[in-house]
Amino acid sequence: MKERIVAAGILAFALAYAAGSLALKVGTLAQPGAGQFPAAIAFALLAVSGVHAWRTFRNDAREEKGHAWARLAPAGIAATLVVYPLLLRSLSFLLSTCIVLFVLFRLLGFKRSLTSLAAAAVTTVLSFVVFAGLLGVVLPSGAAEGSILRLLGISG
Amino acid sequence: MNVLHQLVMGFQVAATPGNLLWALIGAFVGTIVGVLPGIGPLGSMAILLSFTLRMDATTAMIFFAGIYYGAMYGGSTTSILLNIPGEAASVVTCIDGYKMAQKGRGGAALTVSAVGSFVAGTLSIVGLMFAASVLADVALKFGPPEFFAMSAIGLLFLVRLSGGSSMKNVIMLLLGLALSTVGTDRLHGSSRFTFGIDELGQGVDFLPVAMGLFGIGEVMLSAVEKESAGEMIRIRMRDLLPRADEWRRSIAPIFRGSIIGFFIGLLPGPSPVISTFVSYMTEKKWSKRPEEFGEGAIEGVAGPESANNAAVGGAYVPLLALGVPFTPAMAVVVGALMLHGVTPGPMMMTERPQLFWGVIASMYIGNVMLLVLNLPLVQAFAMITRIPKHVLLPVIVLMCLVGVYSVSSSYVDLYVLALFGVAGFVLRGLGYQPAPLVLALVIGPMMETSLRESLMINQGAIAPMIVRPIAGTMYLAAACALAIPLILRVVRRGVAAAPAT
Repeated sequence: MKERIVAAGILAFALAYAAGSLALKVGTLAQPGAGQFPAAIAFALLAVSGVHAWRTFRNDAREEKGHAWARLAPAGIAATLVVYPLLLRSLSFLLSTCIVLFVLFRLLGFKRSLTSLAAAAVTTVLSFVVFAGLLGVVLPSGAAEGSILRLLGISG
Repeated sequence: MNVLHQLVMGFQVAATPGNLLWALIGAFVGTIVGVLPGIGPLGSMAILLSFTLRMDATTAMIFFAGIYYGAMYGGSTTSILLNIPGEAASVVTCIDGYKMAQKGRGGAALTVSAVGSFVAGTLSIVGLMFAASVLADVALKFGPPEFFAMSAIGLLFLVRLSGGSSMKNVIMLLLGLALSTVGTDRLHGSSRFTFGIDELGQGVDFLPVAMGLFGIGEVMLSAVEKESAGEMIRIRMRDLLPRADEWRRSIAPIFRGSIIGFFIGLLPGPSPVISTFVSYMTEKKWSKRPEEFGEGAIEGVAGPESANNAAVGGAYVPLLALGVPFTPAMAVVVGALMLHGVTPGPMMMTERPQLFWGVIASMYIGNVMLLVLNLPLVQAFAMITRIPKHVLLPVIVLMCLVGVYSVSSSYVDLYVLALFGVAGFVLRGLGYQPAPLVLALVIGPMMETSLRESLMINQGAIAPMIVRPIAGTMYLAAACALAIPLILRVVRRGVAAAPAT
């Protein structure tokens, strides 16, 4: 079933990409437009993904291998990755990173909640010191981040 | 003489205290990465890209070269002591290396592996020095048709050599090329597939894609796999010395592995991995004791471990001479060079000789450092595999997130990372290889520009693009390389079927 879903997804992408490339100016061979290369790729992708989808749907779906998708850990990791930019934008680096790390530690089986929280907090502060303090990376900062930078002798 | 003079200058650049320190740190980090299953040299280089922002380009390249070589060294340690390959290029070493360790010869296997890696690394650097010089001179004669031929043939070989299903590899390649068309058209300046998102105007950055597919994808796959806890075989310092017969049996495989590895390294695809398999099969074929392979033959460690290190030197040739990365890890190196305002290619040797020769000289130094670093600390490095998954994986995710954000402070890049992380988990679980997608994304813009320029120069005629001397030779050589194995297979089948009929 997973193979079929992926094959169908790739075919759908190929169709959408082909439609998008034809909306661009294709031009002629002597004067190729912005859409010529994408159109060539799109039709090659349509052909290959079409054959692949046909083969996949013809095969017995029960013979499939691969990991189960609906497992808690990978689904949780995916969710934290999507949520992280939103948190980072609104909560600054330390708080958003600490929340995400805490969730990841718990998801992946790190001991008790309090231990996970402590580990997340320490890892977050250390990563901030390394990236912002030592490497000079500009991370979204608030009052707490400013205090750490001042403690390190770096103007925030 | 000119090469030697340039090399001396390179040593002057590489031997500054700062560069030596970063070469050591790179070698150390690379060894740890090689020991830890999952991250690999590509993931670690991508994660550490932000560390190089404050370095100059030469130091950044020296650091990355240390990581790449270190990963090849480190991978063998866990293969031999734990039967767990630290990364894909060390899978073959498990076969005979772990058997040797079970028989009490693990120390000898580690020493032969380290010395073989050192010899191969050094020989491949000599090859890189001369091959890159010659190739860069040839590349100065390249026009758009030659660059198109090179990128198209490179991607074609990548599909053949990436392993797994060829159809899935073609799909990944085409998806990568499709992604490479996102952004502003280089020749006409019009927007393509940006959906009104300003940040996509510059195209899809390869870094979040590579880190998503390789780094996050690997984390998610590791999260669903059971933790492997192999029995670690302990080694004492005095066990590290191989016997005279073990040395004698290792010399030829080390040299053969070096040559095989260097030439396979020139090809697109996961060359360090392929080189180990080719070397192993070659050694088994040439051996007077083929029955010992699989039971602890030292040749089965010496050859492949030399080959994967030599392949690293080979992989640098197309990058430094032509500016084309043929492996995903080399694509990260290109990314690092671009961040520092350096465009790799044939002009780099003349325009940035200090960078070019400094990196080559640092590879010599790095190989000596790795030899000195690896043998005494072998047990300590092996202990790193004991870090539990629930501690390691969240830290890797954090490094990926901060690493991606730090390069361009873009929230869009974080969403791209998330998207390709999930894609990596789903696709890799079903046997789709991520390397063709990543390399097509990097090579795609050059391929498109050179194709369109070639067509415009030749007023839409395709034949003049093919019959040019250099481009024509490339197409002919590629056609032979792809057709000969097929013809041989058909002939062998015919011979095998003949007595039956």
